[in-house]
Amino acid sequence: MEELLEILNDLDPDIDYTTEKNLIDGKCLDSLTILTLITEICNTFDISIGPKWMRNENFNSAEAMWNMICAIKDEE
Amino acid sequence: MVENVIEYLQRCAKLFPSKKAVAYRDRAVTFEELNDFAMRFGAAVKRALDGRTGVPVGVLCDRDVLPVIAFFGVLYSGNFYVPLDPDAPSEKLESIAADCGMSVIIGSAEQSGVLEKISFSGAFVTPESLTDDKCPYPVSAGGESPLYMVYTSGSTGKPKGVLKSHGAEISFIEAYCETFDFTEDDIIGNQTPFFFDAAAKDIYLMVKMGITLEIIPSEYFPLPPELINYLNLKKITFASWVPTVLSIVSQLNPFSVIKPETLKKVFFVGEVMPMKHLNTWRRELPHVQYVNLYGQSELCGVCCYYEVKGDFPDDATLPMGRPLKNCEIYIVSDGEVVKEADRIGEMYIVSDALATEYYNDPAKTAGSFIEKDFGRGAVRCFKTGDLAKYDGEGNLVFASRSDFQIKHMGHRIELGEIEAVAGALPVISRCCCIYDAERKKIKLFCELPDGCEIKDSEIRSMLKTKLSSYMVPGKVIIMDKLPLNPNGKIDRQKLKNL
Repeated sequence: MEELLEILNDLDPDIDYTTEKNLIDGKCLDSLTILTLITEICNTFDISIGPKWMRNENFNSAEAMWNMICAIKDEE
Repeated sequence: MVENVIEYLQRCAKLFPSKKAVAYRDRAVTFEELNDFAMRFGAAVKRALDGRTGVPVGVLCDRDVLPVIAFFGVLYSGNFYVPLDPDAPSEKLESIAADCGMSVIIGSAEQSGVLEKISFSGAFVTPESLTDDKCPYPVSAGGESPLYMVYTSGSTGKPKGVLKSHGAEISFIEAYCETFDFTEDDIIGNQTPFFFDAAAKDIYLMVKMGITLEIIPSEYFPLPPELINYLNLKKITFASWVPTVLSIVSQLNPFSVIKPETLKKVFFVGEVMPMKHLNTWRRELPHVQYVNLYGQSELCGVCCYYEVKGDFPDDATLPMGRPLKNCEIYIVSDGEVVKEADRIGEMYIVSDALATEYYNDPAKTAGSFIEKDFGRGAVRCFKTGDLAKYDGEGNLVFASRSDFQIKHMGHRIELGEIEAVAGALPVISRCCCIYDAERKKIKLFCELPDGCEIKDSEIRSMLKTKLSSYMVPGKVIIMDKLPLNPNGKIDRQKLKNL
């Protein structure tokens, strides 16, 4: 989780990722940031995020992203 | 011959009264309702202006149906609209309102806070202030009348207003519809916020053809499967989007799971579409028509188009193509009009769709909208500042800018504007803005005054209060000394290579 928070803070340090639950629906992260985020997550955690995981609910909070990463790792 | 865009709306209200005109989520208005609401807004604006005409009226543009109704309302009142980004920094909104002497702004009641922040003392017209009064068709508004004004990035740090007329928009939209096979059964999937110039294409296509305009909620854009699902739900047939959005879709390639089922036309405009990503779209959706558009804020719509046909390698650059029927384009090098292939020169546009002026700036207008003889007598043209050439097939091909203007996420940005704003911060003594086109990142390199200690993130936070979000540098790099070239100027090339 620490590594994920590091990635997020590097993208936009003005957001409190420990409390924010509406990153996509609340328009905190835009398309380009999400693209960079997905690339960074894939490289850091050595996973591939397939289209079926690309749902707003999986990216609305750091916790949801972390759960998604764990689920993809389990699946792989 | 149509002289005023209101005639398009009135025709739609008559031919398709109960057809959905513009929709956002579960809110929608039919063409009859759009016309009716616009006339009522027109009456409210007229009351607020004591009957004055030909003056700018601001419209706060959230993603919603309201701005579209308000635009036509302003036109019914015999005035012109200035689309405003409600999330823009207060200083920018204040500067725009002051520059054009805006005395009326339209918005929703929830947006009244925006006006308090900018100390706006004029009238605020909301849907709640409407009565049953309706404004009739403005008989005095002919083709020369101003239609709307957009503010674009200016190199001095101050945004500049570009004023466009009814006649210019009509010239563009007629040529656009003659060139491309739109029908009233099409459904537009709007991506561009209404405070950007590029959104006007969607709005006037809607009323010219009687096409439904679906505003796609912004939270669907970051994740492509969600976006495509929404396109299918709304049966979108036409998308004119910035390449960044299309590239993100192809980079995250959702097509193995979900494909757009109703999409027939994909146009891209505002920046260069990377061929690699376009090839992914073309492989997955070969039946779709793909068109590269090129335009400038100084004219209505676009002036060139290139329909993508045949095979292109991933590293190919798409041509800008050929002029629309209402435009002539000339490339000029060393004072000569270029006719041969591969000779680079500056591009000039001659068209009825050209903007009227830079508002209240006759010197700048005279510098960019000039009289020039291209071999058949002097004509009014726009000096684009873009360098271009012809390819072997007679297509125009973009070469580069002749100054420091860039395209980022579809927005035209003067790096000089960012430098001017950043340079005015007391914590920065000198700065230089560079665009990393490969990573699509704006970088600001800066020197601090002696003894000043500040973090890069703090500088970014300061810039966020002064610049529109798409102009805020993605990275701020603090340096002891900026590198200089032999002429003593900041060495941009060196910074680019860092």
